[in-house]
Amino acid sequence: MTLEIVCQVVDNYGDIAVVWRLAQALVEDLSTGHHGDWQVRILVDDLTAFRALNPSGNTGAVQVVPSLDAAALRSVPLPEVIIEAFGAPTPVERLEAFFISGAAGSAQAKGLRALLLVHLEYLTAEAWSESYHLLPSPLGKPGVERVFFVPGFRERTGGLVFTDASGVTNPQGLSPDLSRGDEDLLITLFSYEHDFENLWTDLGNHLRGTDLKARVQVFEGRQREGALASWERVNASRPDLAPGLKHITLQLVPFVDQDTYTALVNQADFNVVRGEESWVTAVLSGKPFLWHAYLQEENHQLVKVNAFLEVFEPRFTAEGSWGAEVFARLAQEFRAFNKRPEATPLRNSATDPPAEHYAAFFEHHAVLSGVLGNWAHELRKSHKLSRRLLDFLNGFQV
Amino acid sequence: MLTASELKVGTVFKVGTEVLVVQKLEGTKTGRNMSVTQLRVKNLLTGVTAAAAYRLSDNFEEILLDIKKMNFQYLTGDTFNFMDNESFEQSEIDREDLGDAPHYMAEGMDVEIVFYEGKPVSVKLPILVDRQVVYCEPGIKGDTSGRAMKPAKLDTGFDIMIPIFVDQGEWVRVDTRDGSYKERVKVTK
Repeated sequence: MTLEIVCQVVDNYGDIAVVWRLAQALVEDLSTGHHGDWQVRILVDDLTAFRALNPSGNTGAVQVVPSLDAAALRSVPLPEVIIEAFGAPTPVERLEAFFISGAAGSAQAKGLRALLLVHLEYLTAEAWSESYHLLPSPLGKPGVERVFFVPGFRERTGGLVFTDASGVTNPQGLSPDLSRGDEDLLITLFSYEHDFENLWTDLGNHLRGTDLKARVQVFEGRQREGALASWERVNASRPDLAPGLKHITLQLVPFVDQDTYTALVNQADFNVVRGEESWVTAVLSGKPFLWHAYLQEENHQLVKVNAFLEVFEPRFTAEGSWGAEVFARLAQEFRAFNKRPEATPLRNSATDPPAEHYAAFFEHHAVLSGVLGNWAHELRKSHKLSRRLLDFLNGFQV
Repeated sequence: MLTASELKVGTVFKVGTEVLVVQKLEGTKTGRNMSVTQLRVKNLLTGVTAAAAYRLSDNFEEILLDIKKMNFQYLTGDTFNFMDNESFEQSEIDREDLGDAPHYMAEGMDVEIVFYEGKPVSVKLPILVDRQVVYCEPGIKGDTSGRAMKPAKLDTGFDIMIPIFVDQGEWVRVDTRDGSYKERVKVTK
């Protein structure tokens, strides 16, 4: 039987990155032999974007088919399960054929209750993720059921997309220039547009008067221009910070594939991340991080940020009053990093003055690492989305 | 066609061969580039109710319905009884099929009843209804700004926030879409 994931490349490669990770995670779980015999296939509209994430071209046990190529689509058999990732529509002709197959009883012939169409939602930490997860979404097509599958951090959600292999912290395979060197503090930057003046200032102040060294790996992408501009500005206009800034080295990192990015996050001491894929990677690295949420109208991204903080907080308050204090500082910076000034265009800005500060991440690094390391360990044990999905499919068999 | 974003309590729509009526809107959530809505629906053919979720862009076949003006007569347990003032024909609808409508309906009130294949399935209320305040704390004379609000109970039993200058016994105009106070009204009997 086949499980087919439909993906549309919208922007920033984020959607296809999650889908590719999900496909690999499914193959990983299926290889244990405990979840039945499923072939995993991806339908994607932009193979170029997919190749950028997986430059080797080796997709292993995952079949990848261009969804805009009608001939290619007709050449692959219909699946028993279609996962429409983040609203990506299944090509019309294929969906019609799927419905016809369902009405003809093809599911029952394979031992399934029905063919299944899964609406895979975006990751959110909001409480509604639990009430929507696994809700039916009837289509009125005989022999076909549709259900919502909602990723989340909470217990009664679909869980998180990750592979067990991504938890390997040994960064073998990283080139020497990207691997950890003799720096004391290794930081990665991968966010939306932002002015990082406060990062340079706070990091410089943290290092001033010490023998410590820091390296900041600035990835290719939307945050690079603001990171570099603010770095140059601070160096040129703040001679008072020079004693601290001289301890910092910036490294420009080109676009890297998914596995390399994961290894870099895992080896770092502090990560600035964004969106969904890198956010989960950072959470599961067990290292302190700052998350840049996807910008939405009327600062709605703050709803997402606060929901995450709500899930995050108990990990700290369980440690007692000092945990609560550390969390309070952390939460303040998460909100400051994500709040856009009112009445501004709906875009992130590399020039608007930043409001967040970073001292809390450096001063409480050991504490944060302990709490986050424990949480990452627990999430890896219990919140693997691919496993939850396959368990759900097991229940779909008659 | 009807999209999921247009579904309201009482909307009857078709999903395949199933005819469903929306009993309750549980809420709409916004994702990154789409919104989803959770409903409680009742299958008009089987009577089974269930929770369901839809993307707001999902669309459905709209059902042709009959609408008749009837008068709300009385309530027996959780069953609302209506009568056609011309034909004296009676119809009953259970509370669970009326959504929030009971908040705004008092005996003797004319409403529109929605019928599907001769069966009453929901009620259509006017956007604005006038109801009497049966309980609230005394108002404060002089403050007619309307900005300070206080809790009150209507003659239907519904709790509402009203300006502090409105007194018990007075009539208010209420928006049935969200239960909000609109204005004080004078009702001549």
